[in-house]
Order: sequence, then C-alpha cells, then structure tokens
Amino acid sequence: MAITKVWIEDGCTGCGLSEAICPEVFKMDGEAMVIDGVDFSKYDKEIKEAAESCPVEVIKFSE
Amino acid sequence: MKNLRTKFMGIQIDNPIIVGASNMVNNIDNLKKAEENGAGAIVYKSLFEEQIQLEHFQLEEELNAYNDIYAEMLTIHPAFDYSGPEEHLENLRKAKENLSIPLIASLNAINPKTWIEYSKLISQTGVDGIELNLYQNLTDLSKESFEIEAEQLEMVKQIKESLTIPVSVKLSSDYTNTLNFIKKLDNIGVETFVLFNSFFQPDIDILKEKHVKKINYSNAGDYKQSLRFAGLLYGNVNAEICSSHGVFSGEDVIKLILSGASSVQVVSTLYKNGFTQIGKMKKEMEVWMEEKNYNNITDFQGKLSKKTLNNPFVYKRAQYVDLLINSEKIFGN
Repeated sequence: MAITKVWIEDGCTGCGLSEAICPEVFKMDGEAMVIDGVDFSKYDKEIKEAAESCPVEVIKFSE
Repeated sequence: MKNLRTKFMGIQIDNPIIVGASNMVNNIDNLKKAEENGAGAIVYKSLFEEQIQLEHFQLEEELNAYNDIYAEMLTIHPAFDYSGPEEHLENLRKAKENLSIPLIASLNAINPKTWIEYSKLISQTGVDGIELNLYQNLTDLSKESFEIEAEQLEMVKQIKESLTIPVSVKLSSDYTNTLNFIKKLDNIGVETFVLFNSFFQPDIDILKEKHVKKINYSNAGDYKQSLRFAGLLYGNVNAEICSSHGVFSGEDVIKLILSGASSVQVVSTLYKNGFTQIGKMKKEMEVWMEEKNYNNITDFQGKLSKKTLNNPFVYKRAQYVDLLINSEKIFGN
C-alpha cells in the first residue's frame, strides 16, 4: 500500500536524519517538518527508512 | 563553576565532551549548535575511502551494497548527503572558519595511498587535528592478524611523519591483544586513542528473509568496554585516552574519567536527546564535582585506574571469576 499521510509527533531532537534520508519529504527548521504538497507515494521506501531510522521514533505515516 | 578543562590530542579544550563524527555534524548550523551547547570540540563527519573512490571511479553499485549503518558511520552511504572529497575538504575549511572550538577531521580509508594523500590534504584545511579510523571489514579468512596490524602500524607511522597537526586513532577493540597494538601505536607518537569505534553490523528481516538497512545507535551502558581499557591503559601510555561508544550522561563521563580517560566522544545520545544534552552532561559533572570537592578534572582522572589502585585484580579475569563464585552472595538466589 502506498503512503498517503506523513507527520511528526512531539519529541524531535532535530538531528537532521530524516532530511538526510529523504529531502523530498522532510526539511529541517530547528526540528524536522514534512514538506507540504508532496506525493508521498513516490517516496514510500525512503519515508519508511526515515521512520525506522529516527532515533526518537517520532516520524509516523499511514498507508 | 567547576573547571572542566582537559586535553584532547594535546589540545586544551574547555570540557571533556566532544561531539564524535557523524552526519549530525556535517553542516554549519549543527556545528554552531554543538558549539553553542558547550561541546569541548567537534570531530567533523568522516571522509570515507568510498567517497574518494566514487569520485575517481564512479563505484555506485558497490556503494549501494552497504546495507547497514551505524549512527557514527552514516556518511558511508552515498544517499546521505553525498559529497566528494573536494567538497568535503572545502566544507572542512568553512567549518573551521565558523567555529571557535577545536575542529578535528576524521578519515576512514582502506588503501595506504589514500590514507597518506588525504591526511595531507585534510591537514591543509586548517583543522586542529585528524582522527584516523582503523577499520577493515575483513572477509578474507586467510589473512593473518599480524599482517593487518603491521600494515596499519606502517600507515599510521607514515602519516605521523608527514603531518605537523596532532593525530588520534579511533580503533576497534577486535585485536587479539588490543593493549599491545595500542602500545605499538603509542610508540609511534599518536596523541590520543579513541576507544572504541562503532561499526555497522548486519541484520536480517526474518519475514522477508532479506538483509535490512537499519541504523544501530549505541545504547546507554555500552561504554563499559571502553571504561575497562581506559582503566588498563591510564599511566601506561603517553597518549591521552578518549572514551566513546555508549556515553550518554554526565555520570558516564565521570566514570570514564575516573578510570583514566581525559575526554569522551558522544554521538547517539545527541541523536536521541539533541545537542542540549551536552549542557546537561556538563551540569551533572559539575554537581558531582561539587559534592566530591573536586575543582579540576585532573583531581580525579585515573583515580580508579589499575595503575593508581595498584590492585592486581581490578579490570581482570579475577573480577569475573569472583562475581561468578560469589553470585549467590551478591545477587541472592
């Protein structure tokens, strides 16, 4: 199933890992943010990798 | 306010907490954050042989074969903000210009020619020192350990002879006699040993029956092997000891300094807690020093080392045997 929604829960430490893994979806502004208007389905693999790699497990997505 | 000043690679630093090489410290914003939050020094993200070879030979397919990553080794993967060696050197120059605390470069090469060539190039960027990551992902069953050690010693010797900036060696604990190898490096004149490196290890998804890409962060408490080696080396080598791997709190730093380290490197705790963790760790140290009436790091550095205690059993097998024999007394039934 394709990813349709991505969000960041409270607790981001601002390490920049999500942006490093998938700059098309995540950007840093002190903390990680999800870029508006992105077709998440194009980046399924990278979003899942970012979520699995997040040291504080705050990257969430739904399919 | 307690005096936390200490030395790393012979360089005076304001406190013993050094940000270790990782993808967290690959841009000016994060470098400044680390500095503002009180880091004693920063080790810039490593330049890897693979980056150099990629630029030279475009080995993209081989690079993509890396399928597991440690937090400290994120730069091994080209997908993570890949930059070639020239860009890396330029980034080092800019980083040095923007920081007031010492900046150390980190090199993780394989071939002797690369080690020597890039050590020299890195030293010309203005960094305060260079950290050599001795690591080979050995898969050759026929290669003798003494051959590997001889090659590494010769390479470090050549780098030391060709540079004027201080050199540290961050190494694995996986030598037959790590203490002996460290002693040989010490004789070459290495300024600091960083104990130990965190290497990527493979993992498998058993449902998909495939290797998985997953970052292995260090965990709180993983510092204990480093603590043991710091305790055994303190007073027996000329170089300073910097402990790393699983250093999460001020309490951890205190333990490692008591065993003999003069500084620590932190990475995973910053990924998990942010750069503000540095200030919290320093505060914990100051509170403890106040309670113990210590004014300087040197007041307690190495106090619990083997040499200082002059105890033939500390850090040795006897401790383990005693624990097993008396486990009922210690832990109950």
